[in-house]
Amino acid sequence: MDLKTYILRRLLHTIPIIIGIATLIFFIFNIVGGDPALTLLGKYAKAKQIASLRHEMGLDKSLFLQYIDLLKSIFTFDFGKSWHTKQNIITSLKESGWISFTLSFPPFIISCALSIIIAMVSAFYRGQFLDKTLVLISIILMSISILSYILLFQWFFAFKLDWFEIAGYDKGFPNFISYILLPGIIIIFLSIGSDIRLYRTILLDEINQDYIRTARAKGLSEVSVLFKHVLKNAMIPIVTNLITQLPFLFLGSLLIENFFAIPGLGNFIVTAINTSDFPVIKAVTILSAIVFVLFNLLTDIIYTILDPRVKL
Amino acid sequence: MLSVKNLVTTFQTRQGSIKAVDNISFDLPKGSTLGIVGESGSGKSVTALSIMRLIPKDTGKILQGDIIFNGQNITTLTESGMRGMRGNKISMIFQEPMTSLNPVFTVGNQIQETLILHQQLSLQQAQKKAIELLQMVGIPSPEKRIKDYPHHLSGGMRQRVMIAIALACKPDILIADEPTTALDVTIQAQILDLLKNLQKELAMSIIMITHDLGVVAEFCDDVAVMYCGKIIEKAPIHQIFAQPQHPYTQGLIKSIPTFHPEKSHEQRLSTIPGTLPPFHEIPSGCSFQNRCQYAQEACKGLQGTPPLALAAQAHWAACFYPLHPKTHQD
Repeated sequence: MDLKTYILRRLLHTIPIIIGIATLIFFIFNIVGGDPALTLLGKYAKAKQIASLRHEMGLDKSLFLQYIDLLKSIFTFDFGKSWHTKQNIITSLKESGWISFTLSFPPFIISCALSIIIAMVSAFYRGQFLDKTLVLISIILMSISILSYILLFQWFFAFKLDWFEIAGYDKGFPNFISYILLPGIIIIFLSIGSDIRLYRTILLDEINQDYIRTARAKGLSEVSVLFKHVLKNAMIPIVTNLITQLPFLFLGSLLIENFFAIPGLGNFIVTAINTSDFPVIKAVTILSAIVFVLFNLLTDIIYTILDPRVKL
Repeated sequence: MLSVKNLVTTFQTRQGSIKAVDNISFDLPKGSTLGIVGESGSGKSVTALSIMRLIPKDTGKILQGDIIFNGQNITTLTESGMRGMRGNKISMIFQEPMTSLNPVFTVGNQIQETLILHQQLSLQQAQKKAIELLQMVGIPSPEKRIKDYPHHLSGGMRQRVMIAIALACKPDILIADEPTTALDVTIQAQILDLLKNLQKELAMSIIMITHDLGVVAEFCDDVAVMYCGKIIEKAPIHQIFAQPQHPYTQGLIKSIPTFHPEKSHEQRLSTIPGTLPPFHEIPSGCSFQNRCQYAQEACKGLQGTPPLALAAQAHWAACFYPLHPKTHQD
């Protein structure tokens, strides 16, 4: 099977998955959860008010028609307006998703490159002082809570030293850069420790394989053994780990965005939950499920490129 | 050609330092084949890795001894000087053909790598040479096979590819570490035949490491038997089978299964009782004493370790009571 047919087939497979997710969400919101109109208006609302809001929300239709509405919104990609902000949901999601992405993508790339390089240095000097020091540092980095980083960095680098903005955001370019620097650094600190540990383990696993001994027996230098024979094999599990992190680049970090008052998707979702903004929550739930399905497909495609043993 | 003198290789373990190879010496003349025989853990592979200088740096090292290759002591060679030897002058093939090739590179790529490294060939030249090499090791339609990945090939074919890689630069010495152990019997014979023919063609010396005396009988000129890191017997091939001197060698030869259909029910296969002692529990005196049916007081350490001494002509044995002693005067 060639790649195109494979992708097409996998995309067709996602349709039943998405319908399944939609059904599940429909049950949770419309049947398990209470009446949203009641929730929104509070217990002192008059029956007339509730009835008119229910009509406005389309809740007076039969369950079947509501279900069809939900499916329609998925396939037309139109989730209507937010109850809270009264704005088109897709527009808001795009806007806040993009902010989250600009916040988390550069740190993702930097921490990815840094952790692979440091893990390779660690693996090269395995068992020696440098390796042990690097492992110790990465365990320390892993063990510190995200809140400690945020509070410490905000207080020290932003407040005491005044190097960065403490919090806030400005949408204009290049103004926004000064606001995402400090949270970006914190994101790097958060992920790099565990990544170094994981990649080091993956690399050491490869270094002990028989074919690495063969590569050395050919007379290759340790550096070319590491960069050619070890790295290409290690990339298979490393890329898997990286791709699982990708959806979160858009979904953003709830804590970071909140602490730094960045109007990203994470913040948007928290606000939606706090205000019982059901259309937004529904849209986000469905879209993130779709994003995960698509990234899984991407992982499988990348596997076929990295590992010749994997067949489509 | 190759001369190993008093080689000692040690490893650090939790029980302390152990001598995986303990003071061994042997010579490998040009074009000849030396078999190194022994049970698992007797130090055969460590001997091979010591010659390749591929002992894992973090736990092991060559403590003392010389390995003289073409007049050059390779134990004192720099790391980059040694890299120039590996895969070029001294090559090695391994026991596990299924895992010895890198799964994510094509067979061709892995053969060309050696050629480009040691002979500075261009990619096109290396590719052409790789096809010739695959042809030489008997792989059909080599121009197609060089684009294959290792998982496309069977174990026997992979071992042929390993041989092609090892012989790419026409080495002086090939170390074959149990090259046929993981293969079917019919494939074993094919691989051994192939090695024998290539040895003649390239005039190289082979160190054949094996626990299979059948392979030794068929393949080698001389044999060294290893036990607990030491060579305990060393002799030309016909002598060791006709008149083993060390009780351990005798035990090994007796435990070769033979096929006598008419009396198979009355004859049981002979075995050597016990197992190889762990390195930190090797008894003083003769390391084989606990398993030896001929052991006497002298073997238990009072007279020290039995030295490797001449027991018959060109026949060395590390035993106080060799089984077929013969002096030069006879």
